[in-house]
Amino acid sequence: MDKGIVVYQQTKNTGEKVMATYWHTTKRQNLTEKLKEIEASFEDCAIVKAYAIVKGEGAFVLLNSRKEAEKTLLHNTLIIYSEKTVNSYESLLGELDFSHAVFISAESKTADIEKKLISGVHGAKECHFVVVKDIQ
Amino acid sequence: MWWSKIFNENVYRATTKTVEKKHRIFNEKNIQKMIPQCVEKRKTSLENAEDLWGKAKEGFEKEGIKVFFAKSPEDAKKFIASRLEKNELIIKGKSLTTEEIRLRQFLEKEGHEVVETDLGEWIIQQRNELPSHFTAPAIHLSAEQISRMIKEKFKVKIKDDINELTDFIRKHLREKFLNATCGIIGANFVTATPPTIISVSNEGNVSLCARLPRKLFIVTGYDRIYNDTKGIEKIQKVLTSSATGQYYTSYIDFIKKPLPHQKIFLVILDNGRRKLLESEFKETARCIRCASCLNICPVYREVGGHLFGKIYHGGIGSLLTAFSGNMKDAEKIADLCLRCGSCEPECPMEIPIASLVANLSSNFELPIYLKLPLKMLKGANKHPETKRKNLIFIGCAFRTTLLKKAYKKIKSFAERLNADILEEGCCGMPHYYKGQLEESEKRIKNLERIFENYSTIFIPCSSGYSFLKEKFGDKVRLLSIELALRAESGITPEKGIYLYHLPCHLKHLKNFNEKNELKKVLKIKNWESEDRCCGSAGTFWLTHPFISRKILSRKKQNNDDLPLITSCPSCYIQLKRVFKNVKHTSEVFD
Repeated sequence: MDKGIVVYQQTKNTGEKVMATYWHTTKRQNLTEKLKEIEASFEDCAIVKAYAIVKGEGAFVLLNSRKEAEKTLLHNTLIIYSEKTVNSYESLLGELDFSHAVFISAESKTADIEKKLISGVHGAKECHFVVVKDIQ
Repeated sequence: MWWSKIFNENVYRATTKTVEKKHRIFNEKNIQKMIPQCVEKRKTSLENAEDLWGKAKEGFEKEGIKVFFAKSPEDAKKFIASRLEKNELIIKGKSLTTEEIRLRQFLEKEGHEVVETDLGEWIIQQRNELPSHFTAPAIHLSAEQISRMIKEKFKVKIKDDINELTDFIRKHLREKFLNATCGIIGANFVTATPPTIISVSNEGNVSLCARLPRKLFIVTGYDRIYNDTKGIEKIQKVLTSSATGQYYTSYIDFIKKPLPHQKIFLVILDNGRRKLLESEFKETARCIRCASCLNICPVYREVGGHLFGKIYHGGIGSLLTAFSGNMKDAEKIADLCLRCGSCEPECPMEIPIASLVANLSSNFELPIYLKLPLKMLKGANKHPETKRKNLIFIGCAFRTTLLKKAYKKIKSFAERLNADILEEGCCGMPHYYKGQLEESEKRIKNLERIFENYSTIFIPCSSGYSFLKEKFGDKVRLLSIELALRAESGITPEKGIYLYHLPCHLKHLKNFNEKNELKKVLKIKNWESEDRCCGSAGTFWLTHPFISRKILSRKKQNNDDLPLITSCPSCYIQLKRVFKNVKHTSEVFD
């Protein structure tokens, strides 16, 4: 089935979540195609599928190999998408079998110098969360 | 150095900002409501620490994570060294536990290249300094100082711009991340069921240290154990909100088993923690190292961490050091503690820091200059002739000429409050906070015998009140509040507008707000400095005049010259040094 796609939040530079940039499709569009289109609009961008998105907060990403970890952590822009949404990451810890996982709620940031918030220390400088929903 | 202006201003600005952020998120997300459950979970987990670690070890080893219990720092270091090959490139996440055992310095001596990857910690490593804060190790440095250091050390052109500095460090460390053979990280929480290691961070360095190298050491304290994952998200929110004002950090890492290319070792450090859990100081073990107490500590805010000499600072630092280090260092740290208790309402784990430090002080030698003064503060011996129902216990502080007016005023209320007057006698508080517990107890016993004959005891001194309230409950009342309550019946509040100074010792009393009560009958103007410490703290202004004066200087002078009222005689004397018009709260009633 074709999927519609909705970006429900984006974080950029401030560390504060901004409700922004909704990628909508008005017509039915293939999910893979849409993701590719988004990827192309950023430089040095990784698209990662999360196990689930915690509503309004971030994404729970399973990392079961070094490769998956590198992909998730080493690019300038990170786009995380998932079709599953949950209310908290805690519920996943008990039931889910994984080696490593990371809950990502924003871009890599620091306030270590003068307590001023700077984005992009070692991980992604920009981070987008995409909730994939059916368009009936 | 800690006394330089730039150092002071960096620390003061950073701590102020963190406290503001913390309070904002606490209000926004109602974090306070989560605290009782979290404290409860922490307590039960720590009570069963031994069993829980047993369970966790079994589970981890089944999944291929090797678990090692290190009794001493040497054990931990030896274990780690024995698992390393020659000249490894080690990338390290920030961890107080590894700082505690000086792990980086040890591994460097062994010939390995160890790179701190947390931005603040990396800066500290380059400068060969101790971290000056639990969560923000380079809090004492300005961008200008950091860029100067990078210019000198790496021979590059770089501006004072924080974005540019961060970018330089990102590029410099990227190569280390990719080539490292070993990673070392700490853990904020370890749960027994299911066995999971959890670590919070913002920069992404912990996530990378934990995944890229083929060898990973996770070094954590024996006190980081939790029974299960139920409620762990709440504890994470309480920790990150308290530490940095964030509901979530950017990254929260979970580890259950090694990745295919990886070997994982979990090193659990005891170093006094088991002993702490069995001692009368066991509440200290609940500490989650959020540094809320440091960010609010009047002394820390002025001097930063280095003056304390060790990696744990402030009142909590003296307690942690007493067990993980030695009593001598703990004593040095406690010497800088005001015992004001400002930290207690801020502590998300509800650790009674000030009273634990008081108890710890019984292990310290009393300084020579305090011996005589404390001896001179005699307990109450004389019973007043009992004629009336109530008692006003004036206490020791109002006998100085500076407080003569207040002293007279207090006495003038006796008849209207149907109270006898107990003029002489010390409540035992000065002895208590200096660790003279027996002497303190004696003075309380004396008062107990006298208080027996009365139904209510009024105390004009807020310090004495906060101290005796713990022992006598509602039987003791703060005089100012009683006067405000009786404003309709025989007591007249003075007209005029006042500023209020909140004594630190009133801060940790629960459900108590003197200002609100006074506001019902007096006009009190809100003032941004009203809850700032004045730096007096009994004898602190005598023993540390320089720091005390710095703390006092933060209390902003008011332009309109309104009278400033306070219930604490010690604050009163200190405030008099810079404010023209200071009054004891008894002086604004007639």
